[in-house]
Amino acid sequence: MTGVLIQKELRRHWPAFLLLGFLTWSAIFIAAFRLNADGTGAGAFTGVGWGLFWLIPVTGIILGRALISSEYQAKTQIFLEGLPLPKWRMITLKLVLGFLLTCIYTMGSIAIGWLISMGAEIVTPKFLGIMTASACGWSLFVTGFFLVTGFLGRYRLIIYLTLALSIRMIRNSSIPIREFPPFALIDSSRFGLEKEVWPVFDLQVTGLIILGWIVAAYTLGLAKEGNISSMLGEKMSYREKMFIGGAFGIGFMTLFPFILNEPKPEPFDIPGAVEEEWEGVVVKISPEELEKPVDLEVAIAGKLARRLAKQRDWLGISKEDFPGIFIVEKSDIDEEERIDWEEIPEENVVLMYAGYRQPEFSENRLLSWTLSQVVRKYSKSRVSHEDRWWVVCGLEGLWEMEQTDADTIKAREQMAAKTVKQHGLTIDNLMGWSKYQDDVEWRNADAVAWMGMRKLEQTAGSEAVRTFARMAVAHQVTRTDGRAVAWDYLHPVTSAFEKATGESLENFVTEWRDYILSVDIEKEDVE
Amino acid sequence: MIRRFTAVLWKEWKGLQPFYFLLVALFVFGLVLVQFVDFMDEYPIWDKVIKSPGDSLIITYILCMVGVLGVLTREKDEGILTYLDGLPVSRLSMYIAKGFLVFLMVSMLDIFWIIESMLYDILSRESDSPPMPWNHIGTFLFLNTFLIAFFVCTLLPLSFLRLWSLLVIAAWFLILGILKTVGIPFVTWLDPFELMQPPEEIDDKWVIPWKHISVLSVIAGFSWITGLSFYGMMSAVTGRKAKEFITSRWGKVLIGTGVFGGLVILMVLTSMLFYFMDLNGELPEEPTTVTAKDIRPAIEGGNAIATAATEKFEFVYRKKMEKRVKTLAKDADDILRKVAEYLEADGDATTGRITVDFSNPLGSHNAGQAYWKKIRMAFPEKLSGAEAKAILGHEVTHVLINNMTGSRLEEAFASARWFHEGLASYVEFTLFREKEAALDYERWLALSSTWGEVNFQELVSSAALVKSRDPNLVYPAGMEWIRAAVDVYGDDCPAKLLKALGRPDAPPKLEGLALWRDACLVAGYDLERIRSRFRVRLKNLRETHKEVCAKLPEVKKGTAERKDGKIVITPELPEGWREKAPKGAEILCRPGQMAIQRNQ
Repeated sequence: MTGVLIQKELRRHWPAFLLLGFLTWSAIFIAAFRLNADGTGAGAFTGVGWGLFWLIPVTGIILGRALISSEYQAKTQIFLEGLPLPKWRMITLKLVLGFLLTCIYTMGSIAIGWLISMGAEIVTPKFLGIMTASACGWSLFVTGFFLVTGFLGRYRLIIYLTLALSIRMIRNSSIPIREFPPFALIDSSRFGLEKEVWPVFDLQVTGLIILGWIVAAYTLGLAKEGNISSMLGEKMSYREKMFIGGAFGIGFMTLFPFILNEPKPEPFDIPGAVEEEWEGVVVKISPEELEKPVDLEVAIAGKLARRLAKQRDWLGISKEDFPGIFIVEKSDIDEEERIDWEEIPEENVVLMYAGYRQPEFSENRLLSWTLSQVVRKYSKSRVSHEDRWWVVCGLEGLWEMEQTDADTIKAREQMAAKTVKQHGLTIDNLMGWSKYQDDVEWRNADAVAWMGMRKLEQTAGSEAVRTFARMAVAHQVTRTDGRAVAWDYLHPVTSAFEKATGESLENFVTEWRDYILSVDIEKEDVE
Repeated sequence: MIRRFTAVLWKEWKGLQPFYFLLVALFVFGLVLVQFVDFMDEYPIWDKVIKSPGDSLIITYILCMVGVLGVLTREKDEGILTYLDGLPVSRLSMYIAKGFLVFLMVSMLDIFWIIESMLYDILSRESDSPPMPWNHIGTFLFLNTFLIAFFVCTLLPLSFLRLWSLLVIAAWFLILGILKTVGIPFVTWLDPFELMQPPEEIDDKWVIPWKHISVLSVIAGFSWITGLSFYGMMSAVTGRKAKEFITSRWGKVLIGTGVFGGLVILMVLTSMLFYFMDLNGELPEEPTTVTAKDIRPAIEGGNAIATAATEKFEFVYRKKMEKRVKTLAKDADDILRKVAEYLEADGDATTGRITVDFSNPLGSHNAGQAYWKKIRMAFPEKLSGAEAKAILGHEVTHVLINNMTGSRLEEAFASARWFHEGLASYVEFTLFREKEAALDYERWLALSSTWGEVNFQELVSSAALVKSRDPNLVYPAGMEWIRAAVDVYGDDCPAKLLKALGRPDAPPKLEGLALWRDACLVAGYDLERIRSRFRVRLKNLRETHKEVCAKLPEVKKGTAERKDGKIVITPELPEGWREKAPKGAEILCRPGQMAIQRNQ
């Protein structure tokens, strides 16, 4: 009877089995041939591994359908159950046939690879054993999965969708899927190249999974008719397919951004840097040369930590949320400013570069630029939008000028006066700050913004400036989503200004412009 | 006639309703999802949508597959085809209605999605933003709509294959991918996913690829007619005749002959492809005039394959190389021992033999290629023994890097290529060559750095590097970085970095600067200090080679135009450059892979 059943399967599906072999071997032949011939791959067996990775799932789907689910769909399983043969033997027969065909396709593929290499691969028995075991392990795992899901009939679509989306999700996550069995068995960087070390652990785990598939296949296949298995055998309607497919796709895509686990590297640090801490603010400075004394670094870090702590409290940022400050000496940096920075994504740190031994360097500027990077980090760069960035530029000026000498202040006033005289200043310039910066050059725009904040301090008081700063640029953003966008739209900078100072921004801009224009422009500058 | 067609359209419209529901659900879902994962006012349409259409095209293709596959066989599967055949409607009208509705709905979805993106673009505008790229949006929509039509037309005939269509689609893309990699001329015209090639910059003109469109239109037309023929011939009775034929003796003979004949034809065709390539894997300039004999010498006699083994290596080579290979083989174990000692590679990394294959062609301009315990090397007659040892030392370094890091750097290759090549070059020049042998590398780097500072950020991103420089700059620049690291932290610095990269608990899939920061931190190093030293070394190189660099003209401007089927590049060079340039110096233009593909 067993022989008859085998004949029945072969008679029914032989064109499919043959075509499957033909297509699989043809594709693998081309892949292996190409990788062996054009010199870009490691050899013919790499092509075989590549082909098996992509094609065995497709052959698995078709074998699962042909051997298992087609019986349910055509209702022929009722006929089979009427035969004088135990059901477990029928299941065994189908599983063995499925596994056997898969092994034939797999081993045929390896043989194709060997033929194509034309003797250029040294195939020792051990190498052949490792490669065959790895390839068959992978293929049996895949086919086993599709044979089991074949028993689920209509609901296998859900499983396939779940699987496809999960793999997509895992590939984008931090999970190194290729290092886990059975994927490790077919990993393209090793398959067909490892000749000595047996992948014992990977084979053991894959073997256990295959065993699990077999147990699941018997459990599902031996379930009595009239219960769940007959329901599973029903074909899914077009409507059901679309609905379930859509629901699953959407469900997964919804969960995807939230369960995506970004890899966590070592927390950012600079080993050997000079470290100073003041009321929760940690400043680390790394000199270019370790051998030199670090007195200067200690002095800068200490001063900076104290001033940053003060401004942190002024902005209303909590100690816990304040980023770590790292300063790296860079003597060949831009000669005018001697300061630069680098974004460290996903880490609550600000990394600044400074040529602090150079004559043009200014500690005040380092403080103000560091603070503007702090608010940028704190708001996930939301303050970089032009309608808010002018506020940051103005505050930068306030922080920088707090301890600056009179000559620098005077020079900055001159810059602002000349700029406004030449280009004017309106509320549109504030709302379109990027273009204003381009038109007048960013240093001049900064000088204008600073004069605005100074005027505000003089007229409305420092408390109003602080309230405005907190409302406009010190709003914490913790996730990249629509909430921050909504918050910005509901709290425009104009209304924040009005709430903080009791005056409209438009009116203030007029006063601000007049205030700047009241500065006497020195003669030689005018010329 | 129109009334009948309208009735068919209506029937199909009702039949495809679940599909429309799916499309609407996906659109609404996308609309909602973006609020949870993005700042929608930081969403310029050029950067987010038009510049990189790859993912959206794949989604469009999948939607077309969902809509089309099975659509022609549904009536037959549901047993109502006989009923439909009894109605006064033609198969042609049903066929047109089915394809048209899928095309229409997927196109509408894409149009709505573009409108949504335009709204986000409006929200994202700043005063210095470039104007809305209407031309590019128009071109994008045109090409996208064309592609939807192409997808629908080519998928229609596959609709009859049901589940088998997946295998056919997979095989088609596999074959196409292989043909593209082999570099068969104009093969990209067969790939619809290559149609949309937006310009590099928003201000550049987007040239519509009419020739590519024409080729795809012919394929689409042919597929559409094939699908129509199948649909017209489809029997309402469940394939009885076909089954009878398949199970008959003649059917079996025919299928068997077809399968094996097909396999033979495929092998012959692929073998012919092979003859287009010479032994270095390069396409000859005039493929039609080259005979198989010239290209592929017989594998008997001197070309017969032989093998040799040492304690740590297996060599595969052609008989004619025997003497040279055996000379190299004598020193091979020693080369491995030296490199392993320097990199502090433990037993696991050096377990087993490394295969060195001299018998097969290499990718063009390559001296060697390394993989997991395998090296492919060229060994031309003119290569001296010392040179071969140095190359083997270089490639062995790659193999050990792979083994010591568990191939982790392979995963982040775009961020790690500079380290791979840099360390291998460092080992090659330090352990296996004379000190002054690195002069060419140093001059190359000095010149490149004179024309524009070589930044570490560029090195850790292949995409950024390729955009502005020769990608092979990673060899000298990577080597100089390793030298800088050794300057700061000593000779064992590369070994410690490798150990940090390959530690079992290393966070996977790190890329860019984060990967190197992490490795340095674990090794106890300050990345910034190494970067700083790297800058100093570059400055010194510029100083040392100042005079030579001043003699070489930097091309900053020029024109490129198509002329007689070729691209003619005319650089603007400073007057008298030829007199100043070192004797025998010539300008060499090396187009990147992207440029070659675009030209095709």
